[in-house]
Amino acid sequence: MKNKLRLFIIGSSLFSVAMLMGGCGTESETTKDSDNSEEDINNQEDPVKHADESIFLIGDQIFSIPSPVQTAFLIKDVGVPFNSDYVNPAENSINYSSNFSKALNLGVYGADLGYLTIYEQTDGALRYLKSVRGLSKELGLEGAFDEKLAERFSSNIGNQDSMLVFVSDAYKNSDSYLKDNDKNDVAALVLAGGWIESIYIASDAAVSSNNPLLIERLGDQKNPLASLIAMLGQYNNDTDYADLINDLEDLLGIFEGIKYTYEYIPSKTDESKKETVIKSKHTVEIADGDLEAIIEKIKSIRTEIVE
Amino acid sequence: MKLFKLTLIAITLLIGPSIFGQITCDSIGNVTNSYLNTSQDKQLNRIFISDGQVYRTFLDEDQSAEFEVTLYGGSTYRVAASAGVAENYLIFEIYDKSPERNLLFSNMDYNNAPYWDFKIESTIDCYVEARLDMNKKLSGCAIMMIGFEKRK
Repeated sequence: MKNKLRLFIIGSSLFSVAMLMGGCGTESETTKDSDNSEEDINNQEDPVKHADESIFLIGDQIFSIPSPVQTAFLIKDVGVPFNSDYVNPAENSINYSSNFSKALNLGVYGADLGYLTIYEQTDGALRYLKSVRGLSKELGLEGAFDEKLAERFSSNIGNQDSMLVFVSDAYKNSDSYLKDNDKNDVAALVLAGGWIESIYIASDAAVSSNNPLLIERLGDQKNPLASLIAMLGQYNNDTDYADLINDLEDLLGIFEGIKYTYEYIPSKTDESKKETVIKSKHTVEIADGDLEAIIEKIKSIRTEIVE
Repeated sequence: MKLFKLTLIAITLLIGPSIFGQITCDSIGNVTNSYLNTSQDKQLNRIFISDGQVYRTFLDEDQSAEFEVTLYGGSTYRVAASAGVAENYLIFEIYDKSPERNLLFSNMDYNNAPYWDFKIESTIDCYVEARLDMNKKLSGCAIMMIGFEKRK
């Protein structure tokens, strides 16, 4: 009995010390109601103060890039038929050797997967999911695109809603994982690849349909493109990044010719529905020459990435 | 044996709350994610598809985080936000990108609601700003997510 007691006291002392030491190594967060110290962001780097002292961000600035899936929905909604020529062939996925091209093409294939799923190209979607999983494994992201995802995706063939949610969640999980593990540069490339592919598909669809909504959507990309350049600019430490950023800056230069107007109109909120209608008006006017130049430049950037 | 049990209970009472009271950034992510598609959405057959990004920062007293977002006309978006176990730790506001920086929405007007939907009539470039409600929480991890509604 005495031995058991001694062992227990030693064990609990070690446990308590371990807890205290663990507590010392984590960021603390505090609530107003209590002084509870809570474990926080174990894997993130120290917070960085920015020029504006009131804005305090972890590691990198926050950027938002629109979902490629959303643009694919617009293409279908305006009646443009499916075209397999728009997507990067799935078999190309074995051709990418550097992490830079793998990360970009993981984004490209994600956009393609969304496009195929929206058009209910189920066989194609399964092949593209395989390419996505192959690249993600090579980038150490197999946790986000694991066997379970593949099974859930396959077993929900025909249920477009579920398939899209699974894929979007997998990309969100990989974004979170990469940011957790100080791989924001890879996360940025995946987003860049997805954005470039979705705009490439939209521009091809705009050419074939001459649909004004698609043309307007292309014109709406000035702000996302500027965010993308700023995001990639944080990691501009080799020629791959520099070349991509230079190309995107050239593209942004073409957007400078587009005429935008904006009129603020107060929003209307329905509290019972937890919904606010944003009523402000915005117009885009793109000259034919600018549109052609944007489409050409996007095609050239995308070719560089996938070939 | 009795002493053993008593010590075990004492340690559990002492350390247990701090362990279970701990909330990691990951678990805040899970909470935020639950706001993107709620049980009520399922009943109404509404689906919000994530934009594939997790907007995350560590906020300290009197600090805020901000990012730009483009919301497309003809779409409905959901912005979900969380900074811990309680629903109302985080204040988020949306401003237009005009020189006047007009306030389009503040969840502070609705008890710091953790999610809100935005029906966009015409494409708009905005700033999303987030900060902790100093009356409720002084520092910690904050996560936001954005989803768009799939049309039926």
